[in-house]
Amino acid sequence: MAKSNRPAKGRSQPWLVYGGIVAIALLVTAVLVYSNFPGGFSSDAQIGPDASVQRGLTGNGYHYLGDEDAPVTLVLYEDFACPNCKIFFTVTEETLIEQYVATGKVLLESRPIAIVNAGSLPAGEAVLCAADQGYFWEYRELIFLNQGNLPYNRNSFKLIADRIGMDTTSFLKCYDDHVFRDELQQDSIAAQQFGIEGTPTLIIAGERFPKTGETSLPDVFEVLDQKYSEATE
Amino acid sequence: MNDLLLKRISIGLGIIGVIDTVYLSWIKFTSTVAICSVGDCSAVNSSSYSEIFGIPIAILGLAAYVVIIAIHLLEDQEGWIGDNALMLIFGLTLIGVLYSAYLTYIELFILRAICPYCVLSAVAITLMFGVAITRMLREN
Repeated sequence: MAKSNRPAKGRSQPWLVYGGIVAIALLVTAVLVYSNFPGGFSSDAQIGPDASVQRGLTGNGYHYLGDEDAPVTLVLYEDFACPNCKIFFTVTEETLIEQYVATGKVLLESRPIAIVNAGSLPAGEAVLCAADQGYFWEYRELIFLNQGNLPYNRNSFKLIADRIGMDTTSFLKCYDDHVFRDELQQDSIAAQQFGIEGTPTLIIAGERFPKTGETSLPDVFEVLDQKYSEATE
Repeated sequence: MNDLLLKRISIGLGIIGVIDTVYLSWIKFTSTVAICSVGDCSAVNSSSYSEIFGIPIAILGLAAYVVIIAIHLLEDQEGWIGDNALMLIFGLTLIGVLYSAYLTYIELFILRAICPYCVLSAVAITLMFGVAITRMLREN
């Protein structure tokens, strides 16, 4: 580098030039912001699992999909603000339901918890309020599809409820009254005491994945095949 | 505080920005962590706001820091860049400050998740902008 303190040359720029730079900077920022803004509301043509897939509530009140007598149970601890739960939903779940749940091999049980960030609790409460009207799986699907696109606030939750065709008045009353907040918080504390350190955590036939110290999910289908073989031997 | 010191401070902040954005890019590209635990960088860095035209913002930030540092280093060289260095630094850091403000808004009000490494970058670029203005005011 050449010496630093030589007399400035061409540096006495008129303020007009700086005004121009500010204008260009504003324009560039506007283009960057506009380009960054994601598209609007996302939805599937068919919302929720296929009607042919059985659904119900476990004895302790968790929602499940599949045959209640399925030989293998997959318990899924999930947080609706967790990006990797969204990835699990978008990448893995469709095949999981088609090939394992709908065929009666696996029962999929969802255990919502709220541990990841400030959006976790409101999103979880919204899903449970939807569940109260019988739309757990539908609402959960749209929450995941719109995670990161829509802000997790009352308006967005109402928009999702409306899209599904729910009774939005009683949905909003449930959400505003925080009907499920205590339940969700207690479930989250219980899960953490149980050793759930992050989401998604899968418990397949009683065995936890990932085990402590592991950071990536196992090949879920490989594990399911193995557990199914063991259970049906 | 003389101009050389201010320039060095600015370069130092730029180096902090480079390290920070290299780390954020690494997280973005490897995506090795498949589990969300308490802490929000993965929420921020994997959201649909983390890319422009498919390019991760962390990479754009890294490129911006590298370019700004390069301009600092070319400041005393002959040529157009050398002649207009301070103006270029002012313009680029201003874009950085404005865009960081937008991203911080997204973190706080849309994603409701704060990524400390993103905040570090916002602070670094804001301080660089402040140094650029100070140097400009002194020279004019």
